[in-house]
Amino acid sequence: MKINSNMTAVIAGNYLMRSELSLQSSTERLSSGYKLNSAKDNPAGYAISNYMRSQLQALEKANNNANNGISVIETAEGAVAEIQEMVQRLNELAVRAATGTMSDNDRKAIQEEVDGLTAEIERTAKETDFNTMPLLDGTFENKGYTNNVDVKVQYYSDDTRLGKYTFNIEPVKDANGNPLLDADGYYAGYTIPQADLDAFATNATVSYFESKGFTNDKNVIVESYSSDTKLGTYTFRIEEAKDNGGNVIGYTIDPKDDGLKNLTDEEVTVTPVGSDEMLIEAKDGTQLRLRIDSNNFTAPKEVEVKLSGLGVMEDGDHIIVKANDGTELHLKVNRDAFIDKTVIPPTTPPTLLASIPPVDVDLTGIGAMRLQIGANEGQILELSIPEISLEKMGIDKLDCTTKESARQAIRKIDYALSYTNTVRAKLGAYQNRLDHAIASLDITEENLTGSYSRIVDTDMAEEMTEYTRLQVMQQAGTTMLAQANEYPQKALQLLQ
Amino acid sequence: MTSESKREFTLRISQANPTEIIVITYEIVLVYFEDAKTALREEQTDAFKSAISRIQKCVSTLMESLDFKQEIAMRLMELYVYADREVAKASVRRKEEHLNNAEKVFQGLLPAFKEVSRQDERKAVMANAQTVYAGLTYGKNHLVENDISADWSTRGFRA
Repeated sequence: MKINSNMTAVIAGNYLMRSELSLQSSTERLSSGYKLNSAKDNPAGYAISNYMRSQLQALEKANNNANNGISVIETAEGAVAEIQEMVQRLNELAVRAATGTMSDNDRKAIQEEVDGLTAEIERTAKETDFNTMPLLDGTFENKGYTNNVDVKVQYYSDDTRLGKYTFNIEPVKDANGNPLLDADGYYAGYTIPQADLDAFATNATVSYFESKGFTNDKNVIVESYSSDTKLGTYTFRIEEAKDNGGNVIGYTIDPKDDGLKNLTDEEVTVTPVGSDEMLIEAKDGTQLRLRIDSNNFTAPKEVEVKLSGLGVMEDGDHIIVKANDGTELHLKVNRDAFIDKTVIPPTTPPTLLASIPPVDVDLTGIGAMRLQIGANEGQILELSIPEISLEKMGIDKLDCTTKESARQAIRKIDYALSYTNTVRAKLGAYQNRLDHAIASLDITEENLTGSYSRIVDTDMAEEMTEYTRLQVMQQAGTTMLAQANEYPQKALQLLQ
Repeated sequence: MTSESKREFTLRISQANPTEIIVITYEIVLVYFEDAKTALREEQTDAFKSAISRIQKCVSTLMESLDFKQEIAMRLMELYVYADREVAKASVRRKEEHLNNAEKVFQGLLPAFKEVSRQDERKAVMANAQTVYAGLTYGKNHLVENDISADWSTRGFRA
């Protein structure tokens, strides 16, 4: 039971209750927290403080925006890091599925885990948001468009010069000027002529994806070849290799094969490696590894092998254009782009066009999240947050149920890994810029850059917390100045 | 955060000096941490997201209230940034451990700020707010505690 005998206080309180007018304005002051509440209180003072207040508010808002920007980046980066870990795991699984010693049952188990991971990647990307705004679905990505439905702007860096460009897209050709075809009869790769690249950026080059040779048989893959191996097209007769007892142990090519004679003038040795690989070597540094799907391949068979020095991906290519000034543009070309659509019904292998009309590409620079990070007009930072999705990363149809499909999966996952790396690097760069922006917003010129990355793990955090706790108590005076909030309405807002 | 807690916090803010407001902010954020952990355990996604958003606003407010002319502000900033990052991780990974890591920062610092606020002799920031009195009237059969608090303007009536 509390007894308070401070009657004067109670009387004063009652007096306050009776006075309606003063009640009203004191309530107003309660909610606004300012001494000056309306012009009638103090006209000149009100005008001045209004102006200062709006300046302060603008600065605070800018600071708030920058801090929010950091939270946005951290949320996005956290999600991409999670996704990247999952893609690494996909890589491990695909590599395991691609080895020869797995049974199809083992691969089924792997496929289940793969499906689970891709579903989780999709969920993470879709559900990552900040303050109800989705971050990774491309909403805040700078948009790019083309006038060809089979050619898509996959990504472009912030340093890329915006604008409208025209690119001629051509199939990749071999040394004789003939377009390279893949095993399904589509063009094996695409490129852009140097003239168009020069109009786009200085010293721009097209890079390809790693994959080095093609065959005209789906069941025979060029695994690798040394740089001394002569590029070109060869026909080899692949035969079964037998041991002394007449048992089939793998595949081989007769050393007197004409194709081998074209490949190199030196004496060639062909060695079966395991039950499904073959190593072709010669003294001049020629080294060629072929892998054969023993389940589906029937020897003896003539197979055409093209060593092009260039490479492409399955399911449409990524043409990656880069320049030294930071320009980077990824275009995704659907392999249907070159199909002659006037041929009905479509043939197999498909009837291809020799060329397609030039593609107009518009890099708009529109879409990024805009943050006002200064009190004045024009102090804007734009965050372009790339879309992360299974489709964007090229891993929406991963199949590890057979050795060959697992190998293709590895190549797709490689692109996904490099894409997530690009995204993370981009977010990291934004973080740096925001650090600098916040530093310049403060009245002092203190360099805050270190504070954003100094504490890395929980142990360090605990140490720092303890250390700071002691410092706060010992330096109460400076702490009162260092961390103080003179705007109660801000604290009140936290309760909304 | 119940409506009763909100009323309580509102009342305290009306009486608080600049450092006390910081203490209150710390206590508010700790309530939101509990809310977030509960929502996570009960798998209530919306409540979880809402709690995370509120925590982030609190941390943001604390960051903005720092004056970097003092060196200790840098130490506090590092800790807030760390906490912010852990909260971002928690929102993505949906794991309680990240919430705990961030929470520990505020739990660790709160007692220190409480101590400082006691030494801060500055007046309450909200000028002309009512001073709160508590009185007790008693009679033969009743004992009524009279509390002139933040919502007394309606004198208890709901209209």
